[in-house]
Amino acid sequence: MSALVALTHAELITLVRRPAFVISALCILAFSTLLLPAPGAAYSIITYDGRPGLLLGGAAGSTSALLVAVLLGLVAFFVFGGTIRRDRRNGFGRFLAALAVPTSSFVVSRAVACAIGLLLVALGVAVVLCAEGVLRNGASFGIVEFLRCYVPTVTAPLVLFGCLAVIIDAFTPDSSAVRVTIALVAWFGVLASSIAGSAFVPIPIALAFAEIAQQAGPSTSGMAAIGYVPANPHVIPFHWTGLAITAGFILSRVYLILASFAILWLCSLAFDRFKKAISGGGIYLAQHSIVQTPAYAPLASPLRPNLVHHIVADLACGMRAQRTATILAIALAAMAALIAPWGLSIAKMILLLDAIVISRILWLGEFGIPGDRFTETIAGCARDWVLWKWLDIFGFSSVISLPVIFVALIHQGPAAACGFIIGMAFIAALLSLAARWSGGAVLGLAVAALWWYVTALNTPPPVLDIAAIAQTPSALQLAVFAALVAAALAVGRITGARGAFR
Amino acid sequence: MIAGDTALDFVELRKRFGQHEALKGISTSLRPGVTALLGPNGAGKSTLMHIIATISSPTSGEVRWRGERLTSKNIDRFRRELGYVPQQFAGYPQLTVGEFIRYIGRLRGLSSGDLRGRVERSIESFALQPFVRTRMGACSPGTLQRVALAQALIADPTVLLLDEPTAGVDPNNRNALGDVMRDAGKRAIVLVCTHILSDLDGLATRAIVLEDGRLASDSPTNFESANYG
Repeated sequence: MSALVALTHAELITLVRRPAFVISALCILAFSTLLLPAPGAAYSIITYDGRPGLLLGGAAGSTSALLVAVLLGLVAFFVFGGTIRRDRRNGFGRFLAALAVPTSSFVVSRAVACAIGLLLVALGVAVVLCAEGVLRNGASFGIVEFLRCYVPTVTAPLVLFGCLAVIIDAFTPDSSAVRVTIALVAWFGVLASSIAGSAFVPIPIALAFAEIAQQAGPSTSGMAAIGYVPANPHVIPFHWTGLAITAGFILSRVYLILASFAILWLCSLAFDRFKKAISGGGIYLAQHSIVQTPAYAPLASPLRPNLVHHIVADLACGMRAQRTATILAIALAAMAALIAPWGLSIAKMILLLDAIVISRILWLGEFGIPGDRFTETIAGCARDWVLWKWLDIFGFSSVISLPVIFVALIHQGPAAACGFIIGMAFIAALLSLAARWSGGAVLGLAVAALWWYVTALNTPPPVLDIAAIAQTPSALQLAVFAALVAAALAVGRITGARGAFR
Repeated sequence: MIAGDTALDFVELRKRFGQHEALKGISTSLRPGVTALLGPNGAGKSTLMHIIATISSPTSGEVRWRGERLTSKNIDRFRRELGYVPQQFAGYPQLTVGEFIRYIGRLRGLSSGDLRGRVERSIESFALQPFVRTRMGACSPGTLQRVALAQALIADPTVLLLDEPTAGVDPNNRNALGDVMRDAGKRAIVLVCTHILSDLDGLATRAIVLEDGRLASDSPTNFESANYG
């Protein structure tokens, strides 16, 4: 027991002193206020099989619950996922192996330390949300109700995914295929239990189902049968009466599974060598051959390369090197576009596409295309590099977004399509700059992704409009973001290496 | 405690990595005192150290501690008596030197009452007082090496394995380290794997030389005639 306590204590200290933890905690705290439903949002009580329910927000609350579940989980993967791999990598694991401490103690202590770390963050979030809720809604908001609403929403995914990451890390060999398979099984297990209406379903995910089903329309939604009335501003008791399997219900779940797959894919990129696992090493090898391609020849010139030429070359090389990713992304986007006319909002589709876009950027952030260093060395102009990279990302995003832009044009007119395009540019700019400047690509992306999702999609309920994509953040939000980027940059300089964040 | 004398015996130890055989039947016995483990690169020194440190297991052959074969059932008892300084020592950069030594002390099963005194003594022995509040990540390689030694000795090990212990340590501290090894050798088995033979001059009483995975010589120390560096 003494060893277990010592391990947990040391692990916790190690964890909370990492710059990534501090920055992530600050980011989560800063963004947590965005999770509040707007004044007038509906509140509802949900009951599973007669068990006591939880008080939660309406459409906006449940949407953000899904997003928070996935994205805070993603942050948890990034920040807490590597503790055991860290020991393997730096050689300390070898030393620990010579101690009379069982492996299970290490695993348990790490899981406990992660859980405590995550709970500390969740506690901070709860305090911020509570203060914010009272400020916005006055005493009538109800602190107790508020805490009952948000603490489980924020805590459950953090703890679940954080611990899951550690356990996967501990018990799987350095085979990404195994890790990804476990992650897949775990993720779909959660989905399956949601569909089955299990009482043990994580609340955010269950409510996301309710919200998505509600988006599909009351007449076709299985969850509508439980009496979900988001417009009612009063507390409404809900009772689980089972699911009605209808076309809309199935479609909504197909959509969610697609979205989940994309997000899972994104999460899986956090695991090293996943790329090799899905492509048999082809992508990785292709990346290393990029610098040999004629498209990069201008960079070898001592003269300043032609910007247009470079953008084209960068995009072409990137897509060629990531052929599998590109095909998969286009296929997913096309499938999402096909599903959209049947009652699912475009905002949901954008969820999927954003996951793909972020995964693309993550890919660049994690590995970079080999030309990156080459570019920096030869051309020596970081500012242009950022511009090129942004344009590359934007170009890639635009290509895979064509089906969505098309659907937006047909269903919601040119203004919506323009809004979508502007939104995509906005995301790409934010993500690439955050990744570049934070000093830690992965951390920057996690921060930027979280920022993007909560900003763009936590619009007043119950309508999730495509225009939200182009919604301009408030001055306060921008200031917070700028401060975070500055902090990340400062820490990046202090620690002196991108790797310090991983 | 396993019964028997303080003796660590190796019987026909073999270790194979795929097609490559790193150890080709090593048989010898270690008793209290400072023993040097020598040999050119690739001779199998690190492999042997890893097996003794229980990090890896031999492909065949056995290790006996106090006359009893080490198995998964009694290996933890041996580990409690083991102090180990790996060649590349890396602690947690976020922990301070003081925290790290305390941490290892607790992992080694020291009681709370015992821990404080031992941590203070270890810190003092290796002149680590100025670094007690310094994070490991900010320490120089030489300081880290002293931390590694301090943690290895904190629980008074009966078997002390030192893999290149003087790497990065300045001359003054090398002398201090020599004193520590000499002191430890009076009651414990101290096995030192090194290329810097001068550090063991007048200290090691025995030298085991490995060559190509085999025991090339095992004799009382005579570093003047040795030729490994």
